[in-house]
Amino acid sequence: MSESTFVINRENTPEGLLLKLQGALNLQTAEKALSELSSLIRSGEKLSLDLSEVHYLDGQGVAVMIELKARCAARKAGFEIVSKSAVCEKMLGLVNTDRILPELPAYRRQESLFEQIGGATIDLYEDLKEIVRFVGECSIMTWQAVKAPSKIRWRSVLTTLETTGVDALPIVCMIQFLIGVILTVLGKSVLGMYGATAFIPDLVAIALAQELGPLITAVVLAGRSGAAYAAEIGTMQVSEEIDALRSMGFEPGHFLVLPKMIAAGIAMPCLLIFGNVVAIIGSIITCLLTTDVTLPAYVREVYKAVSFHMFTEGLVKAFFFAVLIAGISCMRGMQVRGGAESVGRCTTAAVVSGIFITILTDALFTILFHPPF
Amino acid sequence: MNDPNSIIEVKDLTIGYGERVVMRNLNFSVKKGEIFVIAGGSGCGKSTLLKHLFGLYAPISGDILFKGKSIVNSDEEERAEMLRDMGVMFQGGALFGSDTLLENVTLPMKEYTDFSQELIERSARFKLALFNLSGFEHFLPSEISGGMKKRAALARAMALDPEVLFFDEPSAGLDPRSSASLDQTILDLNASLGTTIIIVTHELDSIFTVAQRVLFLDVEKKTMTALASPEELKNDKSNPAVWNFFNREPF
Repeated sequence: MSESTFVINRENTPEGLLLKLQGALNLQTAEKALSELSSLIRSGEKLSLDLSEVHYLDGQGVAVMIELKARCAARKAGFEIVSKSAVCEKMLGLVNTDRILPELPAYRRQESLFEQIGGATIDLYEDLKEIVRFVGECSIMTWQAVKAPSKIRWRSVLTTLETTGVDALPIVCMIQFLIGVILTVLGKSVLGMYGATAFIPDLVAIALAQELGPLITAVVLAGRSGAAYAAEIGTMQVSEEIDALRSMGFEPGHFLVLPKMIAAGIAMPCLLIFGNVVAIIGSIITCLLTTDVTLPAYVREVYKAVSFHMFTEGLVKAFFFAVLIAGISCMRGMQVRGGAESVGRCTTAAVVSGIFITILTDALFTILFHPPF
Repeated sequence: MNDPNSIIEVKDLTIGYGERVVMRNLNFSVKKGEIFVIAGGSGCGKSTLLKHLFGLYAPISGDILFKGKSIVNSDEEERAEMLRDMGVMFQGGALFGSDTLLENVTLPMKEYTDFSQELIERSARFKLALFNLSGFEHFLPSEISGGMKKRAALARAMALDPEVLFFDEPSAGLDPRSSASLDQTILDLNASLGTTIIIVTHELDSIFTVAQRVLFLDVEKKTMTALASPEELKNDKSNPAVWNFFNREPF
């Protein structure tokens, strides 16, 4: 008899049906055996099984027995194993099958739409509370750092400055160059209709200095450095390094978060200036190639269009975006509990929250700098 | 009344996560210079208790006194002061991954002392040599074996020569010889420096080698059910959970 053969021999007895099973009850035969055996259950009658000729029974076989017993119970039929081979005796003796629930627990009920909305709202409320608490903690930390700047871990600030600033320069410049090109092409197609291509430099410079420059650089920072901060702190959380810091009496906020916030706050305005210069270069090249605007005319227009106030507004925005992105990313890292899956989830959350808080702050700044009323 | 011979006193302590109680009604004290083991089955809350003892977690209720002062009700500054007298070796070592072994050991000294750079480095090199890590000063934690990581973590925990050393499962994941050497190191530290040592473990070999007293946490009863020398516990038939544990009885 091959390994995967399974045969049922039926015999009617005064008590009910006696099934003599032969062969192997394993991964290959389990499903078929269960359906065949289940079809033989008769309500109110006893189902007796003779397993003396079952030469192989594995975990699936045991599962068939437990499920069969449960199905017999559901149809008020008796269930008994009258005889077992040595193999079955051993396998069924490994666990007390009565302790394994005959009734499978009901699968978790699908939450209704209202419950899902309610749950999500509560989560959002808790998350906002956490953000407010963290912003408070960061403010206290910053105040303490201002009072005693010598206590700041400047070496850490410098290292982070390199990864957040210098290393991000190529990608920021490349993106800003393309933004300069895109804005110019867009400007040409719209302004060109009115014969106002001479104002392309104004459009590009104002958009970059005031809005697009800080925003695009912030998105790059959130995606690049924010994710890195969250993953770094999250992994430290998993490997108990944060606990180790606390056990040495070091406050992780002061030790890990503050240097990152300072570094991001310094790096971002620098990145913005570099990025904007490169974007203007991109725009100049496009202008010279596709319009009749000359280089001196371009430069003159930019000088005329961008005021000192506008330039500072961009830098102030960039600074706040960076500090908030760094802070919120570190907070997400601190929220890691458990293992690798949680690190991934919190890193994603760091990028999403970083971009969200950037847009939110940008809206607030726009109202502040340009009051609508 | 505080006992002058005790370095840590635990009073009516209930610990847990949020509202979930892990252990309750814990009352014991650790004597100065003692090797004290917290034992119990997997998942009974040994490591959680240990992390409460050095103030990492706040208890649900009760108090923990370190040299007569409450660590639970202390402010940040007082706690930092107390932590300077404590060293912790975490289960996985918890070395800072981006720092070399030397930087890991020098970190607490740089933060807490006014020593010159030379003195700090000499001291750190000595601590690493004490645990057979000479020549590995500039290795990153990812470049050394598990046993070496534990020894480096011990060197870092010893950086400020603390009065109390906490070990979370020191022999976990170590081969028998490394585990035996770590046990010997624990005995040496205790004998030469008089350091009080508190160890969380379920390794019976380690317990019988190093422990002077063992606190047994019962996972079923969610509290401590015995506190005595390992030999006494092994022969105590009155407490089935303790007897089963110390005599390796299967479930």
